[in-house]
Amino acid sequence: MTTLVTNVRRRSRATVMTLAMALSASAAPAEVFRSDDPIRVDRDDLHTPKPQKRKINDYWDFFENTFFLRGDRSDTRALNINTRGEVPDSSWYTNRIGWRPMTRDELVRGPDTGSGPAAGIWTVVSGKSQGISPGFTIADPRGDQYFLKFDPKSNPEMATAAEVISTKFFYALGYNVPENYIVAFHPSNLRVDPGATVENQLGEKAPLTTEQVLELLAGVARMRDGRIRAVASKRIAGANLGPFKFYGMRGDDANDVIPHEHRRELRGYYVFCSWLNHDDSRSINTSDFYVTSGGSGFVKHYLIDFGSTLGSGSVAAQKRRPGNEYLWEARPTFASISTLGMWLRPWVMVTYPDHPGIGRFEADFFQPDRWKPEYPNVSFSRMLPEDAFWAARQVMRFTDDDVRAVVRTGKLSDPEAESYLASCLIKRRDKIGSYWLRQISALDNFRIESGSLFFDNLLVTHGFSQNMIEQAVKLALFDNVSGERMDPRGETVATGGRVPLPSWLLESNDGSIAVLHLSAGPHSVSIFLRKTGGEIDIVGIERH
Amino acid sequence: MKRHPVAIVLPLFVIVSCTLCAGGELTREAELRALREEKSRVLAPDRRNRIESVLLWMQERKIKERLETPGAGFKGFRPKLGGLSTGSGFAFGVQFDRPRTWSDRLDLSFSAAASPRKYQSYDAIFDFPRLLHQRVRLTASMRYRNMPQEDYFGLGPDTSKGDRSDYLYEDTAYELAAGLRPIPHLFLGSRLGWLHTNVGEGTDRRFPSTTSVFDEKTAPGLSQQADFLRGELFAELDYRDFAGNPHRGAYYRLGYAIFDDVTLHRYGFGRLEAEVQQYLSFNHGHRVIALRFSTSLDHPRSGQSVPFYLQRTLGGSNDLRGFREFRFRDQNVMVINLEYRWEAWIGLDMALFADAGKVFRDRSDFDLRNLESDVGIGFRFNVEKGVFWRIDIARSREGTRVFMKFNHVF
Repeated sequence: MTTLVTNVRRRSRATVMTLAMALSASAAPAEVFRSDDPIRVDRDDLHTPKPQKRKINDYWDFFENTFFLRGDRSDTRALNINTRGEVPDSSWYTNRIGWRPMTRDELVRGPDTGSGPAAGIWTVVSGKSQGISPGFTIADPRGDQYFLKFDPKSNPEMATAAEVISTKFFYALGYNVPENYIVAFHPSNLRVDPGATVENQLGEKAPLTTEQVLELLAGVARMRDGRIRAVASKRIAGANLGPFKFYGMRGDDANDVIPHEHRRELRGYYVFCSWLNHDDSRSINTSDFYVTSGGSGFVKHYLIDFGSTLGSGSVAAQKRRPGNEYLWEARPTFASISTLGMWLRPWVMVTYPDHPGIGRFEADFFQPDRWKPEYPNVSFSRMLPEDAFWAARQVMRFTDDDVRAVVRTGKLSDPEAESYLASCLIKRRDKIGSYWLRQISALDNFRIESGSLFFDNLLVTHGFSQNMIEQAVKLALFDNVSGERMDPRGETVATGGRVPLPSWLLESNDGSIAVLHLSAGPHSVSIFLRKTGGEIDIVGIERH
Repeated sequence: MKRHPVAIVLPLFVIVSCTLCAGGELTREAELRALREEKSRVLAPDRRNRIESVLLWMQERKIKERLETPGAGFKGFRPKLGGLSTGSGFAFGVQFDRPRTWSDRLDLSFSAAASPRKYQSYDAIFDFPRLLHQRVRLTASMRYRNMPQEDYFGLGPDTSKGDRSDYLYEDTAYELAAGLRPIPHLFLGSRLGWLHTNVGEGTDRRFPSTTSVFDEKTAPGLSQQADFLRGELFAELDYRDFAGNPHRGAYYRLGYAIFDDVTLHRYGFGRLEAEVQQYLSFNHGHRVIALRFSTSLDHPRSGQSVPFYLQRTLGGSNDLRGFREFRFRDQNVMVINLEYRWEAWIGLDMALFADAGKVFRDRSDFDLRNLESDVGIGFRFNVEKGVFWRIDIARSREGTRVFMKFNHVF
């Protein structure tokens, strides 16, 4: 049985033994299941001094992730999951659609706590004229600050819609994301603060002028009525500490004790990114913030910048390669060279309908296990079938109407484009579910009712399979100290998603743990049931 | 030494677990809290390796931008790297720019460069590129060049590879240029300038000097060099998607120039130039057929001749790639280049190409007979809008040549 942090011990027995011998011989061994298992919240908000701000060089990030093997390479189960294989709430992640149905209003509202910048005159306080997505920061009449990002002239609505839609999805999936609002304004609504500055391409700050703002706005898409559409991204509270890496830990963050490549929400992020075609899912689009409250501070971890998701490439329609091939891959390159270009990459010929507001996005060619981000991501490469199952299960929780409702938050003016986008997301969702739910036992929603263990088969629930397959069930007692299964207590069969609990378990003493091993074909799942206070609860789940 | 994360977590976990267990039951939350408290005693910022540190240093100080941006650099000075002219070898120099001066109208540029083969170039450019809403451009420029190892094989298509000689060519040019962009894609231009020329003994010791092997008959203009008043009118129609790395579209150029020998009255001539480039894109731009036809036709004034050092040449990295630079020379030139290009990788295009062309004296030879030809393969390292490094390998009847250039061929 592997649980939170227990894998650390199991993975390196020699090191454990060496250290254990150096310690007090009277130390009692830890139990597999603790009294507070399964934990729902990982309290990683212990006070830590403010860490140093981190910077990442784009070129090095590409180089080290493409040509070096970073992080811990052991094939280990995620280390931050609880005993039921769930991800506890933490500074990284908050269970939302993963644990309970979300209302349509909740999905549509996403992370938004308000309605965006207040109407009236917006004061431009700083500019960003360089880089792939130029924009500027405004303060609304309330004094709230937002960073405005725009659409390219070639593809009005595309980047702003992608940003907001993906923000809502990632929020529902559990991640910390900024509040992003679609706004429309007339340039005459802007005033440049006398103290506003802009950094030029040489990093030099100079006073920002109205002419510079107008020049920037002259290069972005406009609506038919002359207004400019933008995404207003609300400033995140806290001190920006720069991006986090997808491997290792931040050495000056006391709460960061799980290697990132072994965090389920970062491994499973692959599935979500494949769904939304977030090829730019690399460190540069993450951000750690140091938040303080009552003299105590800790680091909170955010995902940011979704302008390059769905069919958007931020400044133009997404190219054909993203999602299909890494920035550098030797095999297709040498295949192309050696065949003098006669061999074409399959994704070159994928057709996309002409929807400027969407860019290039499709679902027919998409394959959930073949999708690729811009370049290798250590957490993604550590993803195991159980991680993918956890993620796919969440993706499948969005109904067709949920998807359509979230897509509508992108405020695409073309109903055909909006409908196409939603249908693509639905199709990709189903492909994800159909693939990843088959890679491991698809039994889920375990619950104890009326003396029986009930469960669902997600393949049946979502229509990928017709019948609930009969499960062979083996029962045994579980030694919570040694972690061994002992004293086999027989076998039975589970039909129709139900296993009656054996009387010896119902009549056992508090603290007794039984394990039911359900199997059918190549996949199986072990359910650990504990008697506590006279009641039986599910204390652990292990999929195979 | 950077510690592996497991090396930090694992011993902490064991120490903490055992310590707490000695006191009784260990909850999951307590275990994690203890782990974090233990880590809080050994906090240290992440260390970067040297390469990452250097790259970040360059990023923070905008080194790349300073090198690329006119007017940036260090107080406006930037290094100037690259060949001065075909055959000069790699050149080093310095460039000084002051863009957008005089109320954003004027771009100033001064540069000086030299190569190990002692080629030199100095220029000053006063450019007004943004007049009348960027439709009009005016440029005044001065340029001095000293090229001491220019190759000369003689005139006409029947010269021999073994007849190679070299000469020193030196010129100073003063020029005023004006251009108009009446509609998108169309540029109409004119130039008026003064050209002072000089020819001397070549400095490449491997070959005889042109001045000792050839004479005025076989190299017109060798004995005396003239000053020219030069004027030109031209029109360009450019529909290419990216001029530096075209995948679709076309480029057409037609120009007529006059070189008026104002000092010796022996070497005046007119020149008609035409160029057509066509790009046919397939498979969403992953395959391109690129075709170029280029011709230059000189006609000397009555009783005068075209000096050899101003005649167009054929051979080298930009036209007939299976032959060395300046291999063929005469009053008239035509060349056809055909390339099949494909994207091997996002940063690498490859090409299979064939070149064919000839030089000729009489206009009656303006046909497709007796063309010199070559075939080859090319590697073009690029970003979307431009090729920054090209390696072309071409084979002709005179052998195999390899070119490494920092530009596209066309």
